[in-house]
This record gives sequence, structure tokens and C-alpha cells, in this order.
Amino acid sequence: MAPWQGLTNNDTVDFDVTWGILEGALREIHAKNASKLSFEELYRNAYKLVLKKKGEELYNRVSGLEQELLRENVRSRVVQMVTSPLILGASGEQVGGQAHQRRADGERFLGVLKNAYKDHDICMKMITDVLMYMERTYCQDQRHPSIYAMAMALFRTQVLRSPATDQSDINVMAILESAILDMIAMERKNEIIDRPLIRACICMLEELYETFQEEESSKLYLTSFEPKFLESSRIFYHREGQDLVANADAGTFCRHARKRLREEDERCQQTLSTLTDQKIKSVVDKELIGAHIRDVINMEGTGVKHMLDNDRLEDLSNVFDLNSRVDPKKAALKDAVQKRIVSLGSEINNMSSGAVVPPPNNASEQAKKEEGEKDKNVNQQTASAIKWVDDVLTLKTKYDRIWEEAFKKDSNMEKALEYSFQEFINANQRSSEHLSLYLDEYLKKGAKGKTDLEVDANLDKGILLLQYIQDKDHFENYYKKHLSKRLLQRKSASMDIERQMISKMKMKVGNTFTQRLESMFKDMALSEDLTKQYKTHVAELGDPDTTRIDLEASILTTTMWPVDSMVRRNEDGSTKTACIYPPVVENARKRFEHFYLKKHSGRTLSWQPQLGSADIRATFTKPDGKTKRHELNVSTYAMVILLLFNDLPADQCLSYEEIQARTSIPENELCRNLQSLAVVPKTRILKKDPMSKEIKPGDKFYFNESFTSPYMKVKVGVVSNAGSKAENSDERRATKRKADEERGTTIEAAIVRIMKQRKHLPHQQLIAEVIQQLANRFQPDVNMIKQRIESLMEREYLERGPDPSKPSYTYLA
Amino acid sequence: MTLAFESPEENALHLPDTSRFADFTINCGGYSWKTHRAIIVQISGYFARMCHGEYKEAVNQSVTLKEDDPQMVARLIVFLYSWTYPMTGKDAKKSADSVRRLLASNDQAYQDQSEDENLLTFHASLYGVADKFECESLKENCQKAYIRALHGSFSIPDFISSINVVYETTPETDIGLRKWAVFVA
Repeated sequence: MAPWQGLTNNDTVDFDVTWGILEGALREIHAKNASKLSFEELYRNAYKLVLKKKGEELYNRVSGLEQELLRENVRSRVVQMVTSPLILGASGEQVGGQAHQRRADGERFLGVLKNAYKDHDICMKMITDVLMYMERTYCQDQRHPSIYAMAMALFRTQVLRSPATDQSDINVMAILESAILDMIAMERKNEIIDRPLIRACICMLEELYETFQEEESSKLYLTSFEPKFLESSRIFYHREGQDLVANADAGTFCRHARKRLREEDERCQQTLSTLTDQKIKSVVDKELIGAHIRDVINMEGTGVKHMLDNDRLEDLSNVFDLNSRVDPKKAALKDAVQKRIVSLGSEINNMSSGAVVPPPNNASEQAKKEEGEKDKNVNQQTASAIKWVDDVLTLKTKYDRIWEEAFKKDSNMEKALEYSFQEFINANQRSSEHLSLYLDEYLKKGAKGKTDLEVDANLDKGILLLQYIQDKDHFENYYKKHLSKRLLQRKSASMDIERQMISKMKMKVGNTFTQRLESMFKDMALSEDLTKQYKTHVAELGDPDTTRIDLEASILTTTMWPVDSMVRRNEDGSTKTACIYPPVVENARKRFEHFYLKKHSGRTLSWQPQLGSADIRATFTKPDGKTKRHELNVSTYAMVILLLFNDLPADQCLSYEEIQARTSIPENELCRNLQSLAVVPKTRILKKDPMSKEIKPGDKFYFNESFTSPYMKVKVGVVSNAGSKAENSDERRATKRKADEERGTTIEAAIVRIMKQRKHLPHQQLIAEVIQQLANRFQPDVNMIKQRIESLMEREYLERGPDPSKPSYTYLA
Repeated sequence: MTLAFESPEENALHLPDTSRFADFTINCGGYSWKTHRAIIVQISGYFARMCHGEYKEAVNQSVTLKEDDPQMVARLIVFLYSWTYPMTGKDAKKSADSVRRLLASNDQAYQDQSEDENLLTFHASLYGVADKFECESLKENCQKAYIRALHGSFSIPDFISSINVVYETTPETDIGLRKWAVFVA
């Protein structure tokens, strides 16, 4: 026989004897006496049984033993801890009082159960060690569950799912679950509970499964406890939501909701299981937040409207977060914010239009009288226009800050804000005019009391508003008008800033209208050059005449400037204005015109005496013989009037009619200028007889030798023609009519452009394309587009498409 | 006593000899070997469970193997240290030396298997031991050696006795050697 036989076991192995040894050992292990046992011996015994093909029977014996131990020892220990409060709690009966008793009982019960489980776990691992040979042999390929798995399943059936009392069929598991839920309910009322204890029991539920397969989804935690937890939480938050909405204010509600979310998060981390995290948050979202957020947002007195008005950024931030959780579009919040902005914006609109006093439809004498008052109202209107822009910008700044800090720069909210601002700004018919007046104010010399930096900032803000305005062509018209006044009256604070404005506008809005504005600047530059050339020309003529007049001319290209606002056209449509100039002035005028026409033959110059100014050196002789010299800056008409008095002997006067005859100045201009020269207190260059405020036929005018002024240079402003002001309603109507005409032309041009390219288009598409092309300028009225199409068809630019059921058009070359 | 050898593998081969830092005693068939827990638990599931557990052996840090053949156990221990099969490879001589050293303290003569004819039985026996002590890598080595021996020349009695060993010392679910034995038979 070979020497390597080793010690093969030929002796028969007695199963019962061997099992006796093992059984005794297993009981000792459960009694925590493992240290007295020999691993080697136990292992060897089990090993031999397996080699003798008794492994399966060994497995069954072990299973039977565990079952017995669990049932007899473990279960009874656990069940001892079941008290009647716990049973009542588990059967669903609400026991109001005895809360502390119930909690103490619950903690004791949980403690015993937890320890029983822990002990079982440890013992089974140790038993697995000694029985490993059997397990390797018989538990491979899942023919039998491992010893550990088998034992854990037995724990579930023998302990957890066993009846808790002899009377009812409430099992131990139910007691456990209701005790835990009870404690959680207490914690939600801010009581302290034993979190680690609960966690240990929850871990037990996570480690036990419904079946031997031990699939994730069959964890007892997920199949049994979690659904109960979620349901009880649902009921809790449902009730709490209703209570809060009825009793708390919006800010408190939101803070509380946040607190609950944090709580549940912590609960899943520390007490229950992270598996439940998303699910419990969904419950809170649905029952607490989703069900009530709209009501909270719209709550009287404390809701979003109140928060916005009082800059409650933190509260708004809470509302934003909460709304985002249940609605990614934040519809409820958006609605409230938009409503508020439009409401505040409408207030701003109403405030500015509240300054309007409608002009009465009276005869011209009344009209002259009221013009003074009208003018005062109009100045108020200008001030209120500027205030309108300021108010809108303030509102914008406020809501921008809210958007940044409370709404986390959310793009949905950004669009909503934009939309609401656009809504109320464009609801105001006069927003373009207001904006232009605002900009005009800051572009003129002496923007009241502001530093250069402030002015620049204000201009930038103004440009911001421009983007909201839909009718940009209206804005262009106003801006042109105001710009021309600034340029011609040399009222611009700085040409650089003016040009900067144009380029800023170009950047934000495109260069369709900045083109025309730029040519106005070009005219001014050219005129400057021309004047210089003229001066050189005159100097070269030799013979410096001391009475020669220094002429500065500004030549405006008719099409580029807002001529209609500056001039009244004559019946023949020309812009020539009558005026008889004093000879000296007439000479200078003729000479310049000659000079110009030589350079640019084929052009016509029409002089505009209602614009422009003159600097006159005037000498006043006092009664005591002393003379005082003043330099007077007056309007052109005023200059013409004053020069009449040059040849007049002292003590002689000119009557109103005489002045009118000799100057041909139109009536209302004449009155206004005479008023500024003879009525306005500080600039009474002329004496009026009688000394009344009104200029009437029959009035007489004398040169006022006793005129005094503390200043050497005296500016005689013409009543109510200085500067830009708001339009009265007549002017406004006229502007609108003209704008509509222009729009018609622009629309036609767009239609032709589109049709030429596409040759053939269905009706709807043509309308859509026109709107899209013009979006940057203004929002065209669909009816207007239709009218223009008809008109173009009449003029045979287009014809109708072939199929009458599908309206379309074809381009006619 | 020198400690510096040429490589960690060398170290391992020599470790059973030294008692330095030995913390676990294995008694078997009159022998008493001082071993190191950290090493023997690495590839033997048996020793891992024993040493990490709470049974007597863990408490006393020693075990007495009552029914195992010291010839086999010595080879097992050397394998646990060197991871080298005592028969093959370049370290065969070294492991043979180690085994000899382990067994030298007893009267029983060290049986040098390289001169023996009953190699199949040897491999099968060691396979059984490796199975009991839950050492998969030793089992694999035994299996390979057994198969290699089957391909070479062997004696029929040796073969038959190896079959006996296989059937006696491994459970029927373990077909590692059975299939080869059956195949050849």
C-alpha cells in the first residue's frame, strides 16, 4: 500500500453522536460561550459527516434547531416587551394621552428586538464558519440557501412575522413599525427620540428579505415599512398643509416647508434609509408644497405681492425654491410677479398721463390766452415724462435685483420680467416720446446737478428702455426732432456724447434709423466747414467793414431733418418763410447765398427766420449821459424787430401794425417775440404802451434806454419756444398720422422685397414674414399689411395666386 | 540567525523555520510548528475563519489537528508561505528543504516524494487536504500535477490507490479529480 494514503476515515461515523456534539456546540454558541469551543473539533465533525454523504441531513438538523431556538427563546423575549399601549398603537387606535409611556415602551421593545437580531447575526456568522465545509458542498449553485440566509429567513418567520400576542393577529413586525412611526410623529412635533436605536432596527429591515432570493426590491424595509411610512407622512403633511395655509402667513409657510424638507433629508440620512430620500421628498412636495403654493403666493397681505413691494429677498428666494420643486416653469410665481409689475407699471403710466389738461376747442383769442397756461401744462408734461422714465428705470432696477438675488438669475423668470415690462411700456402710447425727452434732458448742457459719470449711467439706462419699446420708428421721430433742436440751438452738452449715444443705439437696436441721425451730424459738420470757408472768402475780399456781420450758417438737408416739426409748409408745399430783413442783414444773406450757390449750383436755399439767433451789441444811454453796453442774444425775429429801432429817434415809437408791416413776421411769432422783448421783466429792451401783458393791435413800442441788467451778456429767451417739450394732443395726433403713413411705406417696401425674392407665397406666410422682418422697427398691424397688399395689387406689383381656396400671391416683374 | 535573504519569496520560504514573531502554533502528529497568523490566513479559508473567530483556538492562539497527516500538513504550511507547489517549479528544491526542516524534528523520516513512484496518490492526497483547509490555489496546483502525471507514465496500483483517496477525501460534488480519474479509467 502506498505511503500516501494519509489518514482516510474508514471508521463509520455515527450520525447521531456527531450531531449530538454539534448540536450542543450550537446551543453554546447561542449562549455566548463560543470561546470554550474548539473550532477544529466542530469543523472536523461536520467535515466527516459531509464526506459520509450526510451533509444534507446535517443542514436540515441545523435548520430545525435554529427554528426551535428562535421560536422558544428569542420570540418569547421579544414578545415580553409588548405592552398594551403598543398594541393599541399598532391596531390603529389613536391614543392621545400616554405618549411618553408609549415611547418608553417602544424604546424598550426596540432595544430588545435590536439586540436579539444582533446576537442572531453574530451567532449565525460563527456557525457558518464551523459549518463552512458543508456549505461549500451543499449550498453551491443556490441549491440550498446558505446557512446564514436560511437563518435570517427563519428570523423573519419565527420572530418578526409571529403574532405579538396570543389574542390578536398583530405580529411583531407591526408592533415594530407602528412604534417607529409613532416616534417619528413625535419628532415631527419637535420631541427628541432615540435615532440610533431606530436606525439599528431599520438596518435590520434592510438586511432581511421576503424570500431566499434576496433581491434588492424584496427587502423588508421596502416591502413593509417604507409604504407605511410614506402613507403616514402623506396624511401628516396633508393636514399640516391645510393648517398652515389657514393660519400662517406666506413667509412663515415657506420657511416651515423648507424646514420640513431639511428634516426629512436628515431623517433619511440618520434615522431611516437613503433609499427613501426621493420618495419622502415627493410626498412633501405634493402634499405640503404643490397643493398650496399658489394660494401661498397669492395670500392677501403677506404673499408675493407684499414680498416684492418690501424687498423681502429671502422670503422670495424661498418661494422661488419651493415653486421650482413642484413646477419647473414656476407658473404660479411668474403669474404673481408679472401681475405686480404690470400693475405698478400701469400706475406709473397713469401718473404721467394724469398731468394732462385737455386743450379746449376755443377761438383763437381764447387760444392765445390759454397758450400761456397750455405752455405751463406742457412743461409739466415734460417734467412728468422724465419722471416716467425715472420711475420705470427704478422699477427695473428693483426687479433686476430681485431676479439676481432671489430668483437666482433664472431664465424663465427673466423672460417673464421682460414680457411684463414690455407689456406696460407699450401700453403707454407716449413711451417713445417720454424716452426721447428723458434722453434730451441729459444730452443738453447742464443736466441738473449730476456728475459726468451719473449722466453717462443715465444715458445707458435710457438705451436699456429702448429695447422694450415696440414702436421704435415712433421713437426715432421724436429723437430726430429733439436732436435737431439740440444741434441747431447748440444745446448739446458734448458732441462726443451725442455721437456715443448714436453708436450705443446702433449696437442695441441696429442701424436702420441711426443712419438718418448720422447724416444730421454730417450736415452740422459740413456747415461748420462751410462757415469757415466763407469767413476766409470774406476776408480775402478785403475792405473790412466794421459794420459787417459775422454770419454762421447751418445748412440742413431737407430729407434728413424733421423739417415738418420745424417749419410750417406753405400752400404750395414749399418751405419758404416770409421775412423782411434789415438791409445790413439782407446784404450778408445775399452774399452768403451767392457764395454757396456758386459751390453747389442746382440747389435751393430756403432761409428759416423762425430758427436761429443773433448776437447784438446794444448801447443804452442813461439820463445822466453814461452809456452802458450789453450784448444781447436774441432770436432772429427779435433781431429784425430791434434793428427797426436803430434809425428811430428817441421818444419816437413804432406801433404794432407798423412793425408788422415792416417785417412781415407772422402774427403769433410777432406776438411772442414782442412779449419777450417788452413784457418779460428781466429783458425789457423795449417799452410797451400800454403796459399790459397781452400784445394787441394798437400797442406802441419804444426803445428802452433805461434798460439795466447786472450782466454784460443778456439772453432774451423767446417765450415757450425754447427747448424741447412734450407735445400737446394736436401735435401728437399729427405725429401719429405721419408715422402711420411712413409705416405704410415701410410695409410696402418689405412686401415687395419679400415677394421679389420668393416669387410666390401663401397669404399667411407673407404676413408672417413681413411681421418678422419689421420686428425690430415696430409691430405692424395685420390689417395695415392687408391694405398694402391690396394697394400693391392695384398698382400691379402683385397678383393673386392661381388657387382661390388657398390664398396666395405672385410677384409681377 | 541571519534574516536577510535575497527576495521576499526567499523570506517566505524560510519563515516557517524561524520563530521570530510567530504568533500561532499548529500542532499535528507530534509536531509543533510556530507559524504567523498574518500569513496562514491569506489563502486558507480554514485558518482565516479560525483565527478571526471567537473560538478556543483564537483565544489560545493554537490549534491541534487531531486527525490529519503531518506529512501533508507540512506541505500545506510550506505552500501557505511560498505559494509554490512543493513538486514543481524552480523553487521545488527550496520548498522541499523547508518541508524537510519542518519534519526534521521528529523521528519519522522525511519522505521525499521526488523519488517516489506513488505520485498520483500523493497529488490526490494533498488535494484532499487542500480541500479540507479551503485552499483553492493549492487544490488547483494538485489538480494540474495530477493531470500532468496522468499524461506521463504511472503505475496502475498508484492510480488505483489515488482513486481511493479521491473518493474518500472529497465530497461527491467535487469533480476536480474525479472527472480525470473516471476519464482515464
